Amino acid sequence: MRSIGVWCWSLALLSLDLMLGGCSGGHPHTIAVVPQTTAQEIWEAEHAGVAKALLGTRWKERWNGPSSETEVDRQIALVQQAIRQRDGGLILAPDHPLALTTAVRRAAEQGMPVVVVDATLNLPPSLDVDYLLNDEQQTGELAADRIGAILHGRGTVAVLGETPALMGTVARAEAFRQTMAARFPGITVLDPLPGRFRTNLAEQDTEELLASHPQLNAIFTLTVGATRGVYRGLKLKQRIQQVHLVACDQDLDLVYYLRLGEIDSLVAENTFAMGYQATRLITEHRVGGKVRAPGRVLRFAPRLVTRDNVDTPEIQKMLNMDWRPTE
Amino acid sequence: MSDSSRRSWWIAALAALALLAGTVAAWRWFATARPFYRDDFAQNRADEWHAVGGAWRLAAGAMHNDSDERGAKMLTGSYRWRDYRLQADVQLLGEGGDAGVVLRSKDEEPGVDAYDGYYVGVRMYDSTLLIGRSDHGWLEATPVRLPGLRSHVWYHLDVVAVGCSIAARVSELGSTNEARLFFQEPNCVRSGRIGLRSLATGAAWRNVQVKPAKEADLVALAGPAPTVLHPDFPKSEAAFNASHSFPTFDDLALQRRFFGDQEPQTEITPIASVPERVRGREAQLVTVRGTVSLTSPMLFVQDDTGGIALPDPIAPALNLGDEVEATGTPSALRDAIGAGAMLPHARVRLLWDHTPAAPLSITAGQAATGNYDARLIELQGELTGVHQETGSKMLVLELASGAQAFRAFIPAGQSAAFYRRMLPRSLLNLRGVCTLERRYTEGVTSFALLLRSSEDIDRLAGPPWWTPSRLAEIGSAILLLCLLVQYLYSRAKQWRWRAIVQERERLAHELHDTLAQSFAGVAFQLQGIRNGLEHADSAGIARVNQQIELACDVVRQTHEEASLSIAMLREEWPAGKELGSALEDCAASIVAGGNVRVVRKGRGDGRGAPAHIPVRVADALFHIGREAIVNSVRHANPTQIVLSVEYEMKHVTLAVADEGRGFNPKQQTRGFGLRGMEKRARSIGATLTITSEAGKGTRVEANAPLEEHMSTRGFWGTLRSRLRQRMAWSRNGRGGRAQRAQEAAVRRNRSRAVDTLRPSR
Repeated sequence: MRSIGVWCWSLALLSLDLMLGGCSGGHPHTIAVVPQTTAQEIWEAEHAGVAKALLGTRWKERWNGPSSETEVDRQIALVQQAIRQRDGGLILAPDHPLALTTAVRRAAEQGMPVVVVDATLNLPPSLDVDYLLNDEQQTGELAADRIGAILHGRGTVAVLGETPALMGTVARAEAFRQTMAARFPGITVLDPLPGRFRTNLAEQDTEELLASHPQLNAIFTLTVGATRGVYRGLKLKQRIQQVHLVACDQDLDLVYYLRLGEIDSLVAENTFAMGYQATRLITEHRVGGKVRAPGRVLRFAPRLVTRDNVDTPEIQKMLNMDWRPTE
Repeated sequence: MSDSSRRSWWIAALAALALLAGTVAAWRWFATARPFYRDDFAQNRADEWHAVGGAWRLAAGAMHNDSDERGAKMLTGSYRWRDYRLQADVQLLGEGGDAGVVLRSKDEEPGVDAYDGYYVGVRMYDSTLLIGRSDHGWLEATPVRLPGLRSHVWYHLDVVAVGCSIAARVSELGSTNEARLFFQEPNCVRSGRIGLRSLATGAAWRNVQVKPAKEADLVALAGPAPTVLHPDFPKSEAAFNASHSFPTFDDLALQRRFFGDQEPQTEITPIASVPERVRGREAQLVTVRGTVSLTSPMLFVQDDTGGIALPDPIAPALNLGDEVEATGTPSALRDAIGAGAMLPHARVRLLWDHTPAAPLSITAGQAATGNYDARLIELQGELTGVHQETGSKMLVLELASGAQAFRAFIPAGQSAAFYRRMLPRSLLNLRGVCTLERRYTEGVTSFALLLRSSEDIDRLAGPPWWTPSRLAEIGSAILLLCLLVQYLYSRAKQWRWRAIVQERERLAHELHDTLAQSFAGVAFQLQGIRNGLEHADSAGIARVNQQIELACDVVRQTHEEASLSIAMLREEWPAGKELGSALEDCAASIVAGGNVRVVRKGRGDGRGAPAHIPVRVADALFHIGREAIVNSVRHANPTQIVLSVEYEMKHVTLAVADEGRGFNPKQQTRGFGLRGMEKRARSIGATLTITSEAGKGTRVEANAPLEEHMSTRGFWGTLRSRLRQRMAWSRNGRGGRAQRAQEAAVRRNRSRAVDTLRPSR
């Protein structure tokens, strides 16, 4: 009888232990990685960077994001899920600079190291929040230099895809305009069309631009969606060979069009390096006894991708999407 | 029914319940391990499916997803399904994207590739049969061309997954056009659910079947598949773009398919400006562009400025999220108050497949202003009723929120699970297109919501628990509980009183048998002394002295008996002490100061440590032994008492013997002490034998069965033994055959021996 009692108590204690363990343990060696969207390959490169950094460690990543960069609520839900599950860290490419602020602040308050990549948030860097950003100034400059070069310093250029909700697009456009004004004064930059970054609107803008400015020589697009819309508009108006298209950010179809010569160049973000570095920051953050540096803001240089350099190892490494690396 | 038999019945009932539950669990375990499924879509049933994203509905015997959402999926089956064959007809409802089936799926979440498993489907833009591995990321094999892939045509997908190999075939129904592939992955997912999935297009599925598959099925289906494919792409951009292609819109036919063959006839008008074109002017043609927010019962489109209804459009098949351009003559809303407009008979052309727009979260009060007419909105309301609209296939939810009442319309034919969730007074979160049309408001509400599917309803909270019926139920339950507690309390009290009465009865017997009779003896002696003193002479004085001596003996004896009785009331078996030693110590304390010698024999322990004897058995034997020792000291006038405790594998035997005066069993009646020993022996299933003969001493022997120790046979063995023992006790209970047999044995023994307690006088 006494033995049965001991058995029962042991089982009860084991169950309690498991229950408490399940509730309180969380996933201390899991990093939640939330891209702007999982529908674009630019973020698969970030995924590959994270996977590469985790190779050979006991850490693992949980990768998921919205099916569109407009689904801010879904992104917030994923951040809250990471908090709820007590993940060991969070890597977030925010879709909105304001809407994600509270969720990220709560994660940091719980001691979860957060690395914000690509775009900034309305939250200062701190012990638990680092920023790994694309260098938007350099992006604008690279595009301006490229368009200035192919237009030989003369012509008309439009900027599409600028929206105040995406602070990166504003910074890119501003850098582009400043560089143009400084280095290529013979090129006219048309007034921006605010808030028009979606594919259909960008296509509509392209058609209107082509109608109102038949002399248009180049278009600089600030987002993948805007690039797709402009590409379609130029194709349908059969102006793809006359109007040079220089675009920000990379995606498989855009690089495909670049290889065909229909897109002149892409200013590619190094999301692979951002994912890799973000992962290292979090895993090092969790190493016991190590004194944490205060919150950092690191900027990653973009690269201009053209038909001439797209197959170079350096560019291909940036475009790497292997999220199951073996070495 | 005795307590022990009642306990036995409880244990038996619990064991039967546990057995039943175990059987059901085992049956479910084996049943869910066998992959088997055939859909009931034709019967409008899909309760077993679980949607993750998308806008799903049943129509015309098929499951439809009307959304362009990337990675919308619906799942069913068991995570334990391993090798199986999945067949389904699939139809693309858009001009882009892909649709197909999911195999061996686990860990599903909303998101494009948010599951762990495999996907096999047909893709429109490169006209291929594709397969790949998803693990919250996507790795695709080289797709296989399926020439002439078109939307709105049924294709039959046949997929076999065995081990780490997957074979697939897609064929156009009614045609010989087909494609096959054979796929392998070294570290594969070996089991999981099935699912329907589409990416960036609407789609329909029907005739979904699953059955077990073997290697031969795999080989037969792979047939002439060209090569073995592996999950290779996209790893590097260069490799992917070397083997894949994207639409370049150079093909005029393709352009027409995507965009129609008409240029906009007018400049693009923001949708919010369309009502202005209606007021005070001649009807004029307008063109709007926007995203499809609803396709049924009416087409709705919205842009960043507002939304508009497009009744009776001239349009291709459209999905939620499609970006379209519509040209038509606007008109005011039918029978509606306000400044709304619609675009009837508009010519609509598809521009692009896109992700459905997110709804605006507003309150019912805001929706009632009319400023959100034809917009996709999200709001909360309390359900007041559900009914089917007369003469239509729409289900109407009546809702209220604050001071506003509104209606929500959803296609009828929802699953039974949906109706179960829709309880009056539930708090719902709804997403749908707001409309002011009188056809839907019927003039009794300020606006109505047109929902896309049942996925547009989230039940935030069920009906409040404090309904009158619920309160009555809770009150009844509390009353029953109180009655039960009262009953148990009264029973406990009864049991306590019974124990007290029994103890008092025993004490009364004890006092009667010892002190009362002794005092009677003393009184008799004192009476004799008084009589003797009246006729005192030398002989009389001597007799008086003798009588005084006798009286002193009786008082001394009575004092000893009283001390023994008190000792018996106080003493308990010292737990943890070996039974024989405990009895030896007890006997030593009883005979202390006297001439009786206590001898211990038979220390043998055939099973090892005697501490393994159950406490309950040891306690009963201790009390039997102590009673026997006391009786011997009191009545038998022995010089020696022999104690022995023999441990065997299956039983323990206690014997207390003396060489005192003994007694003739036939001349003795049964006393309280014998009844106590019998009762204790019965409680542990022991046999009690008392042997005595006048002048030849007495021997009391109790033989008790031992339970096997738990460690030697495990938990279940112990449980089984206990159950057997409980059942035996039940049989041995009052009126039981074994008990009667035992009583007969005791009676037989009593013909040779009787209780050595003082007989009633």
